[in-house]
Amino acid sequence: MKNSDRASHVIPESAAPREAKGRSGEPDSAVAKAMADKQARDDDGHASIVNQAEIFKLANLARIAITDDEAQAAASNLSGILENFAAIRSIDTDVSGLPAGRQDLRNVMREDVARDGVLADPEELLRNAKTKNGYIEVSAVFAEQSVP
Amino acid sequence: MSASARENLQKSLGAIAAWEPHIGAFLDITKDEAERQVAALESDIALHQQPLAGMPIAIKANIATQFGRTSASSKILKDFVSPFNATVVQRLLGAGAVVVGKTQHDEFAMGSSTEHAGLGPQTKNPWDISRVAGGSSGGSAAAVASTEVEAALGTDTGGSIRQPASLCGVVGVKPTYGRVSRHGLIAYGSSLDQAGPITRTVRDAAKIMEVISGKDPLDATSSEVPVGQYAALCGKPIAGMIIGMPKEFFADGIDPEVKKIVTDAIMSFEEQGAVVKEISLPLTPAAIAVYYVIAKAEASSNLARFDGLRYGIREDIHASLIDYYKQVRGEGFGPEVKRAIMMGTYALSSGYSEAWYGQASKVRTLIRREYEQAFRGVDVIAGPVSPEPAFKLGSKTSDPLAMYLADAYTVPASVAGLPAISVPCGMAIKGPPNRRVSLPVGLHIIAPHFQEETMFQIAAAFESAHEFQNLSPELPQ
Repeated sequence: MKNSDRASHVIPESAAPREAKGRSGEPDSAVAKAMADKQARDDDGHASIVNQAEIFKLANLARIAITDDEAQAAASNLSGILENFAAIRSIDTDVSGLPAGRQDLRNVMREDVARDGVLADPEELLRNAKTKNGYIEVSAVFAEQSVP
Repeated sequence: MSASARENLQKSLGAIAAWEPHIGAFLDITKDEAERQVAALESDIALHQQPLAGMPIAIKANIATQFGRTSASSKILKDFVSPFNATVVQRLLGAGAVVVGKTQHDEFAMGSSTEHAGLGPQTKNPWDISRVAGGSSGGSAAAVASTEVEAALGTDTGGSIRQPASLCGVVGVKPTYGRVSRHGLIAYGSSLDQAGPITRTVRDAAKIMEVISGKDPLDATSSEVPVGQYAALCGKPIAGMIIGMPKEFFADGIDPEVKKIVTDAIMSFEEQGAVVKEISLPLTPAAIAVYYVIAKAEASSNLARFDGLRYGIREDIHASLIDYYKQVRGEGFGPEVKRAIMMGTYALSSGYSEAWYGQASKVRTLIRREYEQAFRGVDVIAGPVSPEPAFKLGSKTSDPLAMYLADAYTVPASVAGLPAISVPCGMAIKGPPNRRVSLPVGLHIIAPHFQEETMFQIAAAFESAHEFQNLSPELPQ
């Protein structure tokens, strides 16, 4: 993926701003309240989190061709889903030592040696591809400028 | 048992011929492979003595097999035949099981009703063919419920084994993350995916779990924790065990009949000397968002490999390589899969990733801790699997969010990596007065990490006291 693809995709400031929030009250009422507040905002109608132009950018990043109709539907669906999910952004995760991932897991290493019998047959592996002289055939990579 | 392997297969193929036109559970019937395995059972005494000898079994089409297609029910893998068997398939064959076909599911396992299948028939619920079988492993659940097969494998990322099992009135197990090898599963959310059995009895599920569990050198995330004697614990008393009942699992949004059936089921454990204790899991309402953000983010990365070149559909498109990818993927993926990839791309893209993926990952850790804390006071946690029984075909397809919310009770165990089972616990009566239907309701039992023994022991105790496993749907006219 080119850097320019990522740089061109900027978050609109209006998109579900993170609520500054301390630890208050019981944790269960805090979550339930955040979800309920969210629901109340949804019922009042809402601005779209992702618009159609952004959908086209996302589709381009994901290498998927989509039509105008698909983009319109996706913008509406994704905005609705993300609005509903935005409540998790107000959950207090400022807990000391809270990691984003599992800390008890370690990388699993093995000797870099070939093993018999596992995916070892090139012909078998290439069976599902279009090949030429034992190579997978693809379009020319530098045929034309195509990434905006 | 294998003296009747041929009879079992004939019976299974007969049931498939009768039921398939009504329920559409299969994408492929692998009769030749099944015949080959039966012949092997007849000539090989060692195979004949294996624990699953002669058991007709179906495999979800997103699990790799060298026979039949491994299409993930997607146009992009329409005619794909895997060059290898998934570890779970290899272990089932080694244990003497007879694979009769590949089952239908939501494309790439993304869905809760099997209505997002990209290929083949619309799977329907054997109890009422105007309703969904659940999903994403809807074909596997429907095939077992209708007696087309004795057992099936499904995959569960956020409830895809347990929810269809609940809606079809059969047993479904999602193992602890790492308990069962993922080698050969077409990846959806790699930190969540597990394969597991769907069966008519808890004991059959336990027997299959003993076969498919354990360390696999081909999956670095599979665990070294020793595999338990799951079937031996089925039938052991549960007196003195503590069952936690989270109040958040019975809050707004649950069907009142389901609420009553599941509450009564949990209270009935007291008749066997167990103690039911109300507990609180405050982060329950947040689990759906945490799950979907993480699952879609992982899916957007996992599905990048489908480029239409190395495998899957190959189109005759004369364009630059980038445009080729876009066209093949645009035509090959269905609407729900495209939505998932775009949502995941959004959640991982520059500027958003900390607010969405990062935050979801942190809340995931909090949910995991909340369960670890709860398990200090209880042996298992019990509640509903699905907020409602099988819904009508088409009733949620236009509203993706409504479909996602159907997973509210299954996703917490998924994000926390816990083992969980769905066991039939009653029938809800639905439909207009002139056309009442009985629809199965499942009881959800969640156990601590790698404590499948406790999960099976409690599930089997419930099953033997109530015998819902003896109910089966009637063949539609």
